[in-house]
Amino acid sequence: MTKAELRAWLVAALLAASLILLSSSEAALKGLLGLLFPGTARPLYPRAALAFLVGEHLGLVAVSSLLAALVGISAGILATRPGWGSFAELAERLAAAGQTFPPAAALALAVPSLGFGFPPTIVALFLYGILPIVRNTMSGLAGVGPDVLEAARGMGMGRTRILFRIELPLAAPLILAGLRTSVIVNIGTATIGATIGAGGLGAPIISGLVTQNPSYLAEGAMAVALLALAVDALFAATSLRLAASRALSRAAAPGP
Amino acid sequence: MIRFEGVGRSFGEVWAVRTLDLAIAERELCVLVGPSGAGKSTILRMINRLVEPSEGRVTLDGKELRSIDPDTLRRGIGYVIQGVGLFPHLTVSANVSVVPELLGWARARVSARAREMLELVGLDPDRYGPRYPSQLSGGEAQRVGVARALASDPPILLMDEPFSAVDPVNRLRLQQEFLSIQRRLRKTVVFVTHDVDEAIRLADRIAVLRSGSLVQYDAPEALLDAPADAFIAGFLGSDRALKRLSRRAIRDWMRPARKASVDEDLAGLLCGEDPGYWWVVDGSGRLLGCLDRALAGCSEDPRRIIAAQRIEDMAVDLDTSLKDALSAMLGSSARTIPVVDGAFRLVGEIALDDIERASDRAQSR
Repeated sequence: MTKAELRAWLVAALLAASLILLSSSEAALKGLLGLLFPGTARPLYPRAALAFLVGEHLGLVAVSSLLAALVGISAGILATRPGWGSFAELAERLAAAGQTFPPAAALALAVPSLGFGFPPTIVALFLYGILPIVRNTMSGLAGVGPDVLEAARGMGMGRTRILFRIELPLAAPLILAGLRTSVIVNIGTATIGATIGAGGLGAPIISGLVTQNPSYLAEGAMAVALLALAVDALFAATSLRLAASRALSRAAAPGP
Repeated sequence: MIRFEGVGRSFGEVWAVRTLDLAIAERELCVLVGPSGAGKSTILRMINRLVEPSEGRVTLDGKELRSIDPDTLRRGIGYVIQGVGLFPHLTVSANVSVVPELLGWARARVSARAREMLELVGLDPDRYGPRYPSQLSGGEAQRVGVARALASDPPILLMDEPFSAVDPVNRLRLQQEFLSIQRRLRKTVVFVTHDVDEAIRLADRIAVLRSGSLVQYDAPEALLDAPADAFIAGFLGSDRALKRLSRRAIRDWMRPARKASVDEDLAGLLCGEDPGYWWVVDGSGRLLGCLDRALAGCSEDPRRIIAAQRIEDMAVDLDTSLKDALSAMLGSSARTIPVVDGAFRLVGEIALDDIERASDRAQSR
């Protein structure tokens, strides 16, 4: 394990530990918020425990990101198959449209058909998170050298085998980078779900804004920030692991 | 036997190959040579069905290629390309193991085979096996490419400009190493190049192609002796006589050397009756130098003369060609030069007359 990788794992563990500490110990959280906002009578968001909100939030992000990953990676693969060039353009345009579309507007449009709560939030997050995944999958697969593909075909590997044994492993670092962007953005964006009753860490933030209680707001925002940083550090460590396990760069391994 | 019968291939309006009839004999090294756009690679790629013919048919041992599943066919044909195409996420060993694994060999057999193949191409398996392709030089990568293509011991090897991207010095080494591998394994090799010298150096038979058509198909010597038309003569170059010499091995044309042992009375030779020259060797037959009555008088110290010489610039290896011998002669301005083996032991001598003889013989055929 390289020094950089070890550091990344440590940072991830530290961030995760502090989030767990804050959400598992009400006393600690209350103490911290009381310290930050000494004038507030009730510093703690009363309607749900922080641990529960973190769980809800993670649920929103996990479901939407999983869907975005499934659809995004599949679309990226399809778009790079020979004869699917026109689909490539369409896929990228749709994905780009998804991201240009403000998630709040997506929510507003999804509510009439899907009702309030979880489902419309998932749809909005899914649309918002799919672009980086599609785009990175496409450029990762397009970046596999023509010589490599020619050699693979010439050695008698079938299309599926080439995809799974050659193309996807080679595109993995870029796909992972796309997932990382998508997930991190969605952790922040998922807070808007609270406006239509999907819960999550947006709930104390909205409530804090409405009741003008900065302590509620800080509780939610702090947790979102910690969550995003922890997940990002996890991705960083994973991608370093991936790079080191195959010495994709000359610098990562002992030279000749 | 690979046989093309009336094969044509068009890409849109353009015919890359037209009505080709070509038979490639088993265990022969056939070089397809021609300027770029002559259809060489297209012909090669029809053999492993990376390109399908638009008309005509290609057969392998009488069986039409179209009737063989492409992936099965390709696993039985080694394929080496200019860009090598090693898989960057796999180690050298894993790269070499790909086809044996596709064929479902047992793990122990696969890894033993990978080691054997790396040794075959002159790479230490312990040192190079665990490396990744990004850690190899161009020449090393192409060696791995050859090892990978040979791993499942396919009877046929297709090579598409495999050494073109390597620097000239390494290219020559790779060519010589590949020739010695081919002498041992005797595969049916189809080799594409645009480099005439490479073609002449390697081929058992050369197919000269021009804009999709076969213009001459012959052994290199025959091609050099009697090019079918002005295009081929021009393509072969104005130094055909020299190229012919490059096909002739010194070992076939050298003669016994006049030698003297360093333990003999060398001073006596210098003052004796015989007006000639002697190659001086030590007890184990290693060449030390030359005593020439035309250059050295009776009064000189023979050991001093020998010590002052740079005989290694003059000596040629018996496995090199007459062209190299001629070059050494011109370089040392001697009409006769010594021939040595790999251990620098004197095995004969070769004179300008011998080279003329070889050249005349070729022309009069």
